[in-house]
Amino acid sequence: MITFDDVSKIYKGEVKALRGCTANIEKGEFVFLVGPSGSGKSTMLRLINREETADDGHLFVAGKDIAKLSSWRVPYLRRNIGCIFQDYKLLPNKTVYENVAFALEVIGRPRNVVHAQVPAILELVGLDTKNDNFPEELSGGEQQRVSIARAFVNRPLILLADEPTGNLDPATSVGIMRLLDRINRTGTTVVMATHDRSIVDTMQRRVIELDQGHIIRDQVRGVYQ
Amino acid sequence: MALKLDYVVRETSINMRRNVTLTLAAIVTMGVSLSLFGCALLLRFGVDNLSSRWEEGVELILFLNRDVTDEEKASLEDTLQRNPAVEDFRYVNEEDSRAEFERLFRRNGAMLERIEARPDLLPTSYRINPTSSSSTAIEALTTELGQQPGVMRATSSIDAIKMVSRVSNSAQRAILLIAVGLLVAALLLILNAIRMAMFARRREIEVMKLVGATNWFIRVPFMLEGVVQGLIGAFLAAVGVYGLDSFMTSIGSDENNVNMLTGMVASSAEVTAVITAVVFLGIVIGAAGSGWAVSRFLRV
Repeated sequence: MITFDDVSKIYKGEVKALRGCTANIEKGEFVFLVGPSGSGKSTMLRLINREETADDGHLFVAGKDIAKLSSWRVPYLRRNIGCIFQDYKLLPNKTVYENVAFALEVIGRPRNVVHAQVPAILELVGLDTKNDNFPEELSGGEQQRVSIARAFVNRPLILLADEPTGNLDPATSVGIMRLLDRINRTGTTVVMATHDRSIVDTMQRRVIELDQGHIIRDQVRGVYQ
Repeated sequence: MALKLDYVVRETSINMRRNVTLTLAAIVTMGVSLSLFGCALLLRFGVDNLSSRWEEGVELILFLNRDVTDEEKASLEDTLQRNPAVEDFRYVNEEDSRAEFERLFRRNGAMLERIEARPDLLPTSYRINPTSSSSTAIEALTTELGQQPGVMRATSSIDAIKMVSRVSNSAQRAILLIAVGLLVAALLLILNAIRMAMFARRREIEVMKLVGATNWFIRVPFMLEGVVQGLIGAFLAAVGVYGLDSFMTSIGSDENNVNMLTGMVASSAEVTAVITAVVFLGIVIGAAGSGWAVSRFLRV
């Protein structure tokens, strides 16, 4: 599903974010990207989503070399990739329902599809009672659930998570991870960058460890260190 | 796609309300600039119409010297008879000159008094109907006849029209210059208004890009906003143009006050053409300004 082939990325001609990374992630896998700040975790995610392009090497997503994608095709790639972030990136002037519906509306899904899918996904993440609340009225964990609902409502093949539990307490984090696990079990490939040691150790999934842009460890059932 | 149209209209109106002051500035500048364009065009049409109208009834006047002799008059009449460029002519004596003067200047007390005191100031004249209505022919004839013995001065209404044309051309040029300057200002204001709109909606734009909205889906509401601003400005300009046309018509068609500017009116077809041009320009500038803003500041 996702194949890094000797990928390098340099920012502004000096900062080497990734150097010669090679890794292959199969469909349905759950992968943790771990490493200190600046090791290149977020860069890897941004490359998959084509927010950046690699300076060297090739990156294949669902079989396509995404560097060769013309810019008008990129939105269609992104419809197959859901993203969640540490800061949730919700729209503050829209309700929970509207935030999730937004993701369908802007890709042109008709009204009946929106009416059908949004309530279903909100139920899946456990927020069906909070349809009309605004993000500021929700806890961090609930906001992240809304983000997850928005990222998953279109049933993407891949879910990218950039430090999703960064702003959450341990108990809430567990809840979020259970949700991500459930999503993974539906067949969605999940790639999650994280600092959270306890989560990685608990879930014991594939771990790719990065250090200063290099992949120094790639373990099928790994722990944080 | 009903959802899409709904969405676009809703988003556009939200955008415009958010930055009312800047939007208003863009619209007003556009309106003034397009009005000036329209007025310049109307002036041009008016003058063209005036010229052609007057050319149809051009009459040459040969004012005779006060001490013109009968021989000179006879010789003049002979010349006029034989000149192929002269269709016909008539002589206006002292009495008739006086009567005509009193009729023309009946509202001008000062002029009347002056002639009262010095009736010999009024010259006699020959009124000549030229065969050709082309201005070059008339000018040539005027020059030729002006040199005949006994003739004080030869003139035709062409002179007056040329003066009006000249003044009008200068005015048009000045107006157009100002209009172009204002149009540039309007373009920049729209650029800024759209840029502010995009900044205000940066969170939405970020999410749209993340979620896979197409580039055009993101751009269209902003471009539409530019076009709408251009259209409203054009509408204001159309009102201005219409107003000027009414004013010109009231001056140029006043039956009681036939003056030099009679006939300096644009026809309704020409007014329609001017308004259409103004609206078209409004849309183009609106689209161009917002298109530029979107290309430059939207990193899609």
